[in-house]
Amino acid sequence: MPDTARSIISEFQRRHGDRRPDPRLQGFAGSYRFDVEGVGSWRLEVHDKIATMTESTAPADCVLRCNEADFVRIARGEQNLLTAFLQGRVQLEGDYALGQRFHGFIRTALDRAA
Amino acid sequence: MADANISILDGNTFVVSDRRGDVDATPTDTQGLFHNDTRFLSRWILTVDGQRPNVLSVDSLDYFASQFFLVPGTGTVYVDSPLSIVRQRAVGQGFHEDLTILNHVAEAKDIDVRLEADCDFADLFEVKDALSKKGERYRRVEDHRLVLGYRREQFVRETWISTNADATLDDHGFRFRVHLEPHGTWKAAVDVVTARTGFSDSSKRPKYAHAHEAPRPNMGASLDAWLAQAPKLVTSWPSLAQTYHRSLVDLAALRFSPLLAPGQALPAAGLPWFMAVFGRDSLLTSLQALPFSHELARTTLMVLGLRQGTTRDDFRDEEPGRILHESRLGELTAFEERPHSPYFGSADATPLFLILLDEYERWTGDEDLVRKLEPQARAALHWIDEWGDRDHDGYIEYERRNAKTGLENQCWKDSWDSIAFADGTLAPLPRATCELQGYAYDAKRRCARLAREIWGDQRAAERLTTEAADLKRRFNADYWIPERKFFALALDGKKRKVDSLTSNIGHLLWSGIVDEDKARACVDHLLGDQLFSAWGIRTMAASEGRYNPIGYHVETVWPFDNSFIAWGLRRYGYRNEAARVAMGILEAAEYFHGRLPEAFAGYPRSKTEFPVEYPTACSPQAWSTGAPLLFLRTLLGLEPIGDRLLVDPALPTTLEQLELLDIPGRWGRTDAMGRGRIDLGESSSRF
Repeated sequence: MPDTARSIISEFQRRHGDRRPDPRLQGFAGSYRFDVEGVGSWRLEVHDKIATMTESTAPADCVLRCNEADFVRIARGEQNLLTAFLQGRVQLEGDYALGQRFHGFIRTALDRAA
Repeated sequence: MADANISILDGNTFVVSDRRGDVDATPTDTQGLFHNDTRFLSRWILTVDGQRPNVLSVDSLDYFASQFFLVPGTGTVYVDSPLSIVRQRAVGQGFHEDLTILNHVAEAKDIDVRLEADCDFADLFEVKDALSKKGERYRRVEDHRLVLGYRREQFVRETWISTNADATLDDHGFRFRVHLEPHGTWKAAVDVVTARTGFSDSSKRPKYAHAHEAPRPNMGASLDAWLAQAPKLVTSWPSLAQTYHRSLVDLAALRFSPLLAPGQALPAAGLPWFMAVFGRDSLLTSLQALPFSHELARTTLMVLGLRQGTTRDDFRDEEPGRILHESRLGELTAFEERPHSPYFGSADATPLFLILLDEYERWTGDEDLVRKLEPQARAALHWIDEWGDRDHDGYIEYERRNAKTGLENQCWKDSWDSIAFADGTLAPLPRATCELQGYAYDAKRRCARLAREIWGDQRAAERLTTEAADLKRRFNADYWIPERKFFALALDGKKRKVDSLTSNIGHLLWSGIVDEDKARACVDHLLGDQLFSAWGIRTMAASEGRYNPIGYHVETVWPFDNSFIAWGLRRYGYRNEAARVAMGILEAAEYFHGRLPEAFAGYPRSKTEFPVEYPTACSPQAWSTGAPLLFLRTLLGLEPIGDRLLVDPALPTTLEQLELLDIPGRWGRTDAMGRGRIDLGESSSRF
């Protein structure tokens, strides 16, 4: 399992690099930006069942800000995003509905076979 | 039946105070200012010259505002008070309070006015269960305001209190040295702000600057607009008119804008404990309210679809496709000491989600939403077959995976003793309660229609139709108790029939799963002396072993339960019986000033002459608020047929004539009216 923010992002890009539509992403639409403290910012766009991740600080529908340890735990499904947010460990801006869906989405996306 | 506490609310922010306007929370008295499932003020006490004033009267100005008229205690009724005190309060992002003191005499007065404040920052679960805190509380005076705070790791919540009047601040409140001229008036405005809530909705001031402002709901229409959009009821029965108006106002107050759908409204379950997203309650209330408002159903479907289960998570009882049971935002949820982030332990919310989706489209013609939610609907159908039916015997059964903090009973009768055999023995888990099978049957039939007409999937339509027919055939064989002529309450973990006679058989009529040749016997039971109190149908028959005269789910009459049973009676053609049930509850509403409680005791009407409120019932409660609306639908026989609304009234003669005007739907607006033709005899005592 990837254990750094960059390795998780790389793994995601590897699994979704072919830009094939993924039927399991039906119903997801919008953009996220992850600001991982001290590491970097990435922007994830989901459109027509295709997910694209790029290093970027461009605006997004939903912005999640946290430290690297929390990002890794959330992406690996070990930490519930809502409880991390309620504890004050994750800041969430923009579309809360998208934020709430991130938990299911990121697991679906990372589970995808490369 | 006057309430000892005064509750005002704005979404999921609410204040519960005593009739003085004071908040003095104790383990047994659950007062306070609450926001996002956390108490932000547990003590708020006004004294004048060291004494707490006496109450003259309390006015509810609106659902978000109230005013309290007080006088200092004179010690005797023979001495007129020289002073009056008025507290006007409006809730929203905390609350704003205007404090006015009037001097009625021709001499000046110097008085000492004190407002004491404190907060325990209790999670709602801690309030209910009297648990202790794990973090640290702090308080300080800074920048002319009192800050009350709580910190546990990075979890921080704060309340800020300030005033525009000259005051001395200390760690425990405010002191005003008030000089009143002869016949003079003194005023102070106090702001109590839920300042650090963990959300971006934190504000530096309350929503309202005084209690007489026009309401500004956080979602959808204002109260005036909401009432103006609702159908108009014309009736010669003043109590019914009052109940209808009360239901609309309470439903407006219970509208709740969840985190997942800012600016949109779904019905929260009830005040004060249930100002949160509840799958079952929101779905059933939306069903009840469909002829009157489409907005609630639309938001409910959107929100529950967005946060549908995606994975197996035993702590939250989450499973792929499962619709959530309850979502909370307090400290215990944050630190995963409770599973409500959200919690999925409900076996009925998933099929009810599908039923509402179809019923919503029948009323509105909103095919876009049905298409948008097709993936969620298919996932819900998959849950019914795969996850809901754990042992693949063809029935939904439940048993919590979270044995520590999960719910043992995951049907609407969720108290510990509700699922029991006729001899009183509790049924072993897992439990497959009968109404779950009815909901699954109805959900499959309805989704077959959606697949055929909207999703363009004939194969799925045929498969669902076949599965529903098979479920109905098996259910009528496996659950029927021939010697008692009703359906078992459940199959237990050993597949034995749980043989108590309960109101659940009424939900089976609503679902349509009952064979025609078994319906008459069910109706006779529902309207028989053991179940029917003449006010309504009891949750459990008086003949059963677990029956308790004030048992929460083992005797009481629940208005929402009766509203769905009456709908079921109409479905099977029992028009008179449906009218009898509807009239019993609507007549009971008169004794509650139009606001039906969650439940009332099942004592026979002949013995009590008035309905006896259940002691710990929540009020207003959404599905009780929705019950009169569904009764009106049932009495008038409203059914969407294509782009028209079928009206087939079955009204008792005591109602004389009933009109419901401007009913919204895919037809635009239309009217329904009917004349009373059913003689209910002595059972209806309205006149």
